[in-house]
Amino acid sequence: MKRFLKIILFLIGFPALLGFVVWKSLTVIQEGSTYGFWPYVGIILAGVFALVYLIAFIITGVKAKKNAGNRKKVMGGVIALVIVSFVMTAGLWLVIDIPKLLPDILNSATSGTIGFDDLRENYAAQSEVHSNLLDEFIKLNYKNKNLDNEYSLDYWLEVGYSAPEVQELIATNFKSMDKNGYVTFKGPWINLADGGRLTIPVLVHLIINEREFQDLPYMLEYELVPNPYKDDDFNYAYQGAADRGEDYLVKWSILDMQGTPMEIDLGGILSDDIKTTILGVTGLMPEAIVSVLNTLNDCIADDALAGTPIYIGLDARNGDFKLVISSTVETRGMWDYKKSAWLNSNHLLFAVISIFPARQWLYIWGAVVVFSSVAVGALRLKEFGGEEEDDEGENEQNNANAKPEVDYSEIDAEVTKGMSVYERTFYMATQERNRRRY
Amino acid sequence: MVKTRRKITTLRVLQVLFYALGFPLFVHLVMLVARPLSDSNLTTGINGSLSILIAAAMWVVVILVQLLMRAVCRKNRMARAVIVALVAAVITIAPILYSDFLLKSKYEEDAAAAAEKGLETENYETQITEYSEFVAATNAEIAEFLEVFNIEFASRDYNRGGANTDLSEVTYDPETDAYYSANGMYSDGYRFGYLAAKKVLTDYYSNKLAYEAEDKDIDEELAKVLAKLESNANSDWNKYKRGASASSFAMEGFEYITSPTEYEDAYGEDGSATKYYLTEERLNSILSVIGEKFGNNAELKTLLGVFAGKGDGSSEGISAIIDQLLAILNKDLDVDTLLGVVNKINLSGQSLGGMLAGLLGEEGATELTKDMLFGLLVNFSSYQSPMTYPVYYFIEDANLRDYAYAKYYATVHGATLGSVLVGTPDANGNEYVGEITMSTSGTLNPYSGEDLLYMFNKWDFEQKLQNEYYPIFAVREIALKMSAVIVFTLMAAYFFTAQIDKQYAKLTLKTEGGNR
Repeated sequence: MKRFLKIILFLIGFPALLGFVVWKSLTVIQEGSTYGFWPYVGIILAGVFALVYLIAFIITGVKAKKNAGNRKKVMGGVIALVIVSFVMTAGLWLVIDIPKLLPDILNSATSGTIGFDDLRENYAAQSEVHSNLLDEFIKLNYKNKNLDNEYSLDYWLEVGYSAPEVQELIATNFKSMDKNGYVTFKGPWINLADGGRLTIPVLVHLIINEREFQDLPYMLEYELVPNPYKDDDFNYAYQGAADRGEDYLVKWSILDMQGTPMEIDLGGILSDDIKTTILGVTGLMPEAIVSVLNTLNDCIADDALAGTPIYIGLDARNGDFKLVISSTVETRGMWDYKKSAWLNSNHLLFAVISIFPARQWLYIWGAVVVFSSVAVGALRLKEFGGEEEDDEGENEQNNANAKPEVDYSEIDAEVTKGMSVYERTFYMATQERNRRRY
Repeated sequence: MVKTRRKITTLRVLQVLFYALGFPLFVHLVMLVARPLSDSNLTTGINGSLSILIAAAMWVVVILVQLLMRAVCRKNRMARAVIVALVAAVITIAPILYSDFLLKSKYEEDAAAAAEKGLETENYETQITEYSEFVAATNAEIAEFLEVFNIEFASRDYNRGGANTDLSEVTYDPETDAYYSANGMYSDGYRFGYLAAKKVLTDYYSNKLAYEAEDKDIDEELAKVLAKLESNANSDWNKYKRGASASSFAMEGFEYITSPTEYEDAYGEDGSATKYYLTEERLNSILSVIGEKFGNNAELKTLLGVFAGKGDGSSEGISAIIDQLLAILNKDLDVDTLLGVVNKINLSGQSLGGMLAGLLGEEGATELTKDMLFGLLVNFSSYQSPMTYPVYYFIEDANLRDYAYAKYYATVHGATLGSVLVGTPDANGNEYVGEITMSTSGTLNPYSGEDLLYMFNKWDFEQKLQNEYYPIFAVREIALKMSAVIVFTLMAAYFFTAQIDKQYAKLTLKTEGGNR
C-alpha cells in the first residue's frame, strides 16, 4: 500500500509536470517543426531538471532503506529531497527571474524588439508569429524564383528551415540588409525614426546622409518592380523584373528598414477640382504616368539621391487618391529589418520561446512537486525512521527503568548562582535532559 | 503542564503582536506616506527614501538601547522597561519637536524668500497637513509639461553607439542630465529631459521678456549681431572660419576645440559635416540626375501638355512655361540654371521667382536668390558639426548669446527631434509645440513665456521642499499619531515577556520539586 502510495505521489510530481510542459509546448513545437531540436530546448531543460530530481529521489530512497532505523539519517534524506524539489522547480527560476537575468538576455538578443512580457504568457501566439515569418519568406522567395521553382511551393513550405537553400538564403540576404542597411545609418537618425520621432529633417538625413557600403552578395534571381500607378482599370501589381546588371550592389534605404509602405492621402490635401483634373489625365493615359513615375523612381535610386530604389506611386483605386511610397523589401524577398533580424535568428528565438512553457509550469506545478516530496518523505520516515524521539522525557516507562538517581542539587545550586529565572530554567532543562540520556 | 504551555504560546503570540504594532507598524506607515516622495522625480539622492531611513534609524536606536540595557541592567526588569520607554518616547517625539520648532522657522525664511520672487506660498501648518497633495499636484503639472513638449523627465541620447553622426564623441554630464558634443552643444541625438528643457525655455523667455520690457525685439537685435559677425571680415567668427591664431581673437582666452583648421575640416571641401546636409554641390548633382533622366523621358512633355490643355484657359502661357522648363532638363541642370528660369518666367506681370520669394516672406524681392533658397533648405536639411563652434559662440553679449543658443535648441534642434519647445505661430497666432513629426502636428502650446517662468520658479521651490522638508514632515505625521502607541505597545511586549518568564518559572519549580 505504502509502495503504491509512493508511486502515485512520485507520478503526480515531476512526471506530471513534464506532461504539462510537453502539452503546453505543443504549439511551439508544431510551429517550429522545421527548426530541428531548437523548439525542444524547453522540454529538454525540464527533462534535465526532472532527471536531477529522479536521481535525488532514487538515492534518498535507497539510503533511507539502508539506514532504516536511523531516524536522523532518514530525515536528512527527506530534507535533501524536498530542497532538490524546490530548487529544480521554482527555486532556479526565481534566481533567473528576480535579478532580471532572462529579461536582460532576451532584451540584448533581440535588441529590445521582443520583451520578456511578450513571451511570459503569450509564447504560443509569439511562436505562430515566428513560424509565419518563415512561411511568408518562403512564399516571397518562391515568387521571385530565389527558391527553385522546379519544386512546388508546398514542398518548400514543408521542408522549411531544414532545407540548406533556405538557410543560406536567409543568412546571405540578411547579412546584406544588416551590413549595407541598418549598420550604415550613423548618429541618431534611425533610432529617432524607430522611436516615433520621424520628422522631415530626420527623413532628409536618413536619405541624403552619405553612407559607407561593403561589397556583399545578395541572392536575387528576379527582382520584381511594382507598378507605380493603379486605378480601377489599370491595376497590375508588378511591371516585370528589373535589370540591375551583374555588378549591382544591393543597398538598403531607411524605408526598407521600416518595411511598411507610407500612404499619404492626397485627396485630403488637394482641392476636388485639381483632383478631378489629375485623375482625368491619369485615367486617360496611365502608361505615360507610369513612365514619368518610373523616371522619378530612377532618379531616387541614383547614387546622387537615395542610392537604392524607393518606389513612389499613385493609387487611384476605389475613388481614393493616395501617394504610396513603398520599399523594396517585398520585391527583394525580405521582411522589414526587425522581422528579418528575427528570421535570421529564428532558431534561437524558438529555443528561447520554448523555455517559457517550461518556466510557467515549473512555477505552477512546483508546489505540487514539493508537496509530493514531503509526502513521500513522511512515508519513508514512517517506514524506515524507527521510533520517534522523545524530547522532553515525558515517557514515564523510560524513567522507570532509568539508572539510579544521582543528586546534582548542590552542583546546580553552585552553578546557577546569580542566574535569572529564565536562565536558570534553561540550565535546569538542559542538565536534566543530558543526565537522563547518559 | 499542558495548560502552562498553552499559556506560554498565547503570551508569545501577544508579545509578537504588540511588538509588531509598535515600530514595525510605524516604519510601514511611514513607507506608505513617503511613497509619493520616493516616486517623485524631484527628490534627489537618498531624499526620496529619507523618511523611511529616518523611521528605520529610530527603530534601530531603540533596539540598540534595548540590547544595551539588557547588558547593563540585567536584574531589574522594571528599570529596563522604564528606560526603554523613555528612550522610545524621546525618539518618537524628537522629529515632531524638530519639525515644529527648528524646521518651522527655516521654512518660514524660505517661504518668505520665495514669496519675494512672486510665488504663492502656504504657511507651515498648511504644508505639514497637505504636503502629499502638493507633491501630487506638482508631479501632475510636471507630467503635463513633459507631455506637451514630448519629452520625459530623464533626457535621452538617441545616437547609435553613443557617437554623433560624424562619429565624434559624446559626453554625459549627470548634473545637467545632458549629453554634450565637443563644441559644448547638445549631441546630435539629444532629447531634452526636464532639466534641459527648463534651462532652454528659461534662457529663451527670460531674455526675450527682458528685451520686451525695454520695448526691444530680441530677435531683431540678434539678427543684427549675427549679420555683423558675418559681414565684418575681422569678427571673431570670420577669424574662426579662417583659422586665425587664437591670440588674435577679441574674445578672451579663446581656444580651438581641436585645431585652427577645424572649421575648414568640417565645412570645407569634402568636410566631415558636409556629408550630412544638402550642400549646393550635392543639390547640383541631384538636379543633374533629374535633368538627365527627365530630359530623356518623352512622355513627360505629352503629359504636361495634356495637363496644360486641361488648365484654366491660359494654356498658351502655361505651355510656354512648360517649354522653358523642359528646355533645361538635361544633365547640366543645376541651382543657377533652375533659378535663372524661375526668375525669367513671367506670370501676370511678376516673375515666378519674385512670387516664390514673396511666399518665403521676402517682401519686395523681384527674384528668388540662391541665399533665399538655401535659407529655406536649412529648415529641412542642415548639420551643425559637433566639432566646430556655431556662430552664436562668438556673440559678445552674454544674455543675447544664451538666447541665441536657446532659440536654436528650442526651434531647430527641437524640431529635428520632434520635441519643439518654441513653435512658430501660424496665421491665426496658434503656436504648436512638442511632437511635430511627419504624422503628428504637435500640441497647441498652453503656456505663455510668463507661465513657464513662473512654473519653473514654483517647481524649483517645490523641489527644495520635497528634498529638505517633506521627508521630515512624513515622519512627523506618523510619529504624531504613533508615539504613544509605540511606547504603549513596546511596554505591552515587555509585560508579556515578563509573563512568559513567569510561566517558565512555574515549569522550573515543578521540575525542581520533582512533582510531575
